[in-house]
Formats: sequence, structure tokens, C-alpha cells
Amino acid sequence: MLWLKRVQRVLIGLLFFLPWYALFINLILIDIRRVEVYGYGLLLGLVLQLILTYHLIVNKPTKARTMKLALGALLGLIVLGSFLVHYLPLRLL
Amino acid sequence: MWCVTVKQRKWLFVGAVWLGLIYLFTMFILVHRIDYRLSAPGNIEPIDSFIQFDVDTEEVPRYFAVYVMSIDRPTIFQFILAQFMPYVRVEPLPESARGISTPDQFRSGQIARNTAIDASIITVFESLGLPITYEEHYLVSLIFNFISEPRLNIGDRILTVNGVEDIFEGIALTECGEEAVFEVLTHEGEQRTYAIVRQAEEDCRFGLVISRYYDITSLGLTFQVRENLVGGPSSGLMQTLYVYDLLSEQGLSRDLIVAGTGTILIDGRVGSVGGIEQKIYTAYLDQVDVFFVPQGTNYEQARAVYDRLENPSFELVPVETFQEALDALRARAGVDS
Repeated sequence: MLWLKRVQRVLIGLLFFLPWYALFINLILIDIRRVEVYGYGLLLGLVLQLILTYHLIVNKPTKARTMKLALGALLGLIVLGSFLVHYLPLRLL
Repeated sequence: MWCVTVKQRKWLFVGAVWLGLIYLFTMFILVHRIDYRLSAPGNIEPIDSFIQFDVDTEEVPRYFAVYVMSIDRPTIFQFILAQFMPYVRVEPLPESARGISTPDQFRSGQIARNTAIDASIITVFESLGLPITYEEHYLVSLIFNFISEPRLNIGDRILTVNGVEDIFEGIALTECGEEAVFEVLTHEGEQRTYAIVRQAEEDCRFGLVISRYYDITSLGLTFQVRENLVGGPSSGLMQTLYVYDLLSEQGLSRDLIVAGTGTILIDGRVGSVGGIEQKIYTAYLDQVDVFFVPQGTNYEQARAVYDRLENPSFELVPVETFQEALDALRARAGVDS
């Protein structure tokens, strides 16, 4: 059940960064004029999550382990996308 | 090997519980939504970024619409943050907005925006004496959750009500508590008939909003409208100025950043809009040169904000009609009408 343990660790990495993502998405939606600044904040979160996941999972990088790292990044992006769609504000002319 | 004593283990447990609670609390205020409406300053958007005419012109005139961000049911964190941000308005969510999903509001905004674009084109073509033919229809532009007919969709075209082509005359034939027969043409081109009950209560509502819509059937030019995330009718005036300046080639905007807000009717009248405080503040942040605003209450609201701004870069110009806005620009550019 090694794969389950690795997925668990990916999820722990994601869970750890959830408030970070939620905070920056909240900020983007209320202050669209600084979207670039907050966008970099989100990006930084993703990079940190990847680093954390890397240390949790990968000791020696192999193809299978790199795939799991990619899974972590993908999950992060899915969570970001879901937040954005769920809280999408209207831009009214 | 790291040994943990019983006392240390106890403190680790207490620490973990506290961290867990802090985590849950943080997530709660960042995710939980409350029944308020929040309006925040947005940005200015060039009209030529979403309306393009196939005309040979050396320089495309630059006119700007101003949009605001509208968040129905913000999170607790956004609600708290809004108290400290300039010109972010928070108000209880209106009863009519409850139960309307964001995608439905978005579609409604897109219908309003497309109708405003057609109204702008009709206004300019008639003003310049260019050939244009169009038809006027009525569309379902918003549906409330208490409507008795769930199959009706936003964007459906209403053909008759109670067999009468004049929609509002047909509606007037139905008493409160009774049902009216709506004949509609769906988005897919199917003709359907629905019986919709008018509420028996005091407000006597059907649960839908009907909007006028123009279908341009022939035009001497071709144009493209690019879809984007911005919706609503409030850029009507600025679209009209842009199309007029583009087709008449008068170069009225020159090097100015001309922005403004206001709906447009096909007779050239400018109508009032919402979110005026946030729009004025957005214009201030973007350092526009001229800002048109509908005459009346909107102008009074705009003036109140304008007078509080420190060294605003722009002139605030109240207008009642498209012609007044045109005259103001001509006076600035030194062009005879």
C-alpha cells in the first residue's frame, strides 16, 4: 500500500496550503485591480506545495515519483479552479 | 532517536488541537458565505476590445467603459476586509437576488450587454443616416426561484402572452392568482407554450424579468462582438460614442482617455446605472480625462464622490442624451457639429 501512503502525503501537502489558496482567491475577487500581486501569491503557494510534496514523497526522483509530484500539482490546480468558479463575482458594466 | 516524555506528549496533543482549531476557523471565514452584496471598484475596459467593425481606418478611437465587481454572498473574510477598503459597498442581499445562481446572473448580464451593443449601433446608424433594419423582440432575461414553470429558460424569446403579440397588453389580461399562457421560442429554435401562474400575493409577480432585445436584420457593415466576462447594459453610452466616432471618423477622443457610464435607448436617451461610487473611484484610479455620467440622481451621487477625491484628473460631465455627450467632446476637440 505504498501508493496509498504517497497519495495521503500529497493530500496532506494540499491540505496544508488550502488556507493559503483560499486567502489569495478571496483577495483577488474583492480587489481585482491587484490581481497580478495576488496571482504571484497563489503561484508562490503552488511552488511551496510542490517543494513540500517533493520532500514528503521523493527521496530519489524516479519517473513514478515524479508522476506523483505532478498529481500533487494537478490537485492544487483543481482546488484553485474550484474556488475560483465557486466564488466567481460578476463584473458589471 | 527522539524520545517524547508523557508530559511532552500531552503538550504536543494540546498544540495539535489548537492548530487544528485555528486551521478550521481560518478555513471557515475564508469559505463560508453570508447573505450580503458587495460592490468593489473594478477596471476600465476599451470598447474596441470587444466590438470590432470591418472598416478601413487609420486610427481606432479609444473609449472606455467602467466595470465594477459585484459579489453576491461574499465570504466572512471579504465582508470584514470590505469595512477597511475605500469605496467598497456592503449591503444586505436583496430578497429578489436570493436563489438566483451566479451563472444565471451572468447570462442575464450578457443579454443586457448584447442588447446595449445593438441599441448603440442602431442609435449611431440612424443618427448618421446609414442603412439599417432591425426587429424588436422580448426576451426572458432573469428567472426567480418562485416561478411556477421550471422549463422556461433565460434567453427564451416571448412571442405572445395570452395570444396577444403586445406582451404587456397580454400580461395585463391576467389577474393575480391566475395563470397566463406564454408562447415562447427557445434558444434551440423550438416553439413552446407554457402556463405561468401570477402570484396571488400583493406583489402579483410571475417570477421572471422580460427585457427588450433588438435583432439587427441588415446592416451595411459587418462587426464582431467578442465574448468576455463583463456583463450589463451600462456601457451603452460609451459604445455609442465609440461607434459614432469610428464611423464618422471625426477623431473626437484624440489623445484623451474618455470614459463614462450610462445605458442607451435607441432614441439616444441616456439611462441611469448602479455602482456609480465604485465607477467614479475606478475612473480616478485609472486617471481618465473625461467621465460621462447620466444626469439626475447618478450625477448627484457621482458629484458627492468626485468632490471628496484628491486632485481628480478628470472632468465629470453630466448628460441626458448621446447628443449632449457628443457636443461636449466636439467642444473639447474644437470640431463643429
